[in-house]
Amino acid sequence: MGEQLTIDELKKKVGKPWLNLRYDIERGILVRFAQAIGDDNPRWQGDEAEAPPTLLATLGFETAISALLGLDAIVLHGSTGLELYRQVKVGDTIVVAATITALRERQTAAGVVAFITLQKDYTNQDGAHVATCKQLAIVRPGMPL
Amino acid sequence: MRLIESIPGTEVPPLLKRPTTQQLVMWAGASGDYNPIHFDKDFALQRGLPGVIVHGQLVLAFLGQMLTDWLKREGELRKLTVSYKGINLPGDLITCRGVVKEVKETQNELVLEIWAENPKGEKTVTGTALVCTV
Repeated sequence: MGEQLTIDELKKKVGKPWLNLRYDIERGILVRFAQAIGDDNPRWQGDEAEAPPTLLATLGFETAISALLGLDAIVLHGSTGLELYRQVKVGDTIVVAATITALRERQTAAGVVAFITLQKDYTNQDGAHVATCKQLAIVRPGMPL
Repeated sequence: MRLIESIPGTEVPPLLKRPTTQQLVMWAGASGDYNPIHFDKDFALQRGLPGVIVHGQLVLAFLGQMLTDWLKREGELRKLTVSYKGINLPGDLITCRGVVKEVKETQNELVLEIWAENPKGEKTVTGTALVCTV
């Protein structure tokens, strides 16, 4: 798990390159991912396996989200926007460059809620831009509703 | 019916899922999302949730499976955008649905509205997809 950050620390990172993470797309990763969904499509299996498109949305998010999980709060997904330019396959190496593009806070009855927009750009071993993913995370005070 | 014959109103065959808490743990491992609200009931209850809840991105993955099952080798997913509107609980049925909204013949593209429903028929995840016929 990555570093733990407060909302104020995250604010200082808005607009700047934040994380740069490397993932080797191995067969076992794809098998475990497909099993977790319950998706037995043969496309995701074997020596020529392709990566299920939604795998890309998960890459890098764990490091970003774990930075927030130390807070006395709950972190919820607001939205996910995935654009796919090129099929990712077994044997590819994907670098995910993540940037916090926006962070805004809103006062609510339960306290301050933070809305964090994360943009991730995915590049393969040939330098090709294979996908982009924008995710909105909502950090809400951990109060009973 | 072949993908290329789709018209506005064409429905994607629904995909039904009923994730167990075991599946949530498998998804946590596979996705790297170790947010305790998905596996620690006490933690979830203390923070005002009704219990552990299904990962939003697992529902996204179900919607992705619905689309790739439908596309087979006749098309590719280009864009998938969703908002998480409500929660799904483990053990509850999740029904994934999609309908073609627009056919862009010049680009061989279809725009779809997609969503996931809980057992009450409430849309818990809603969004759009863009697919390209090949």
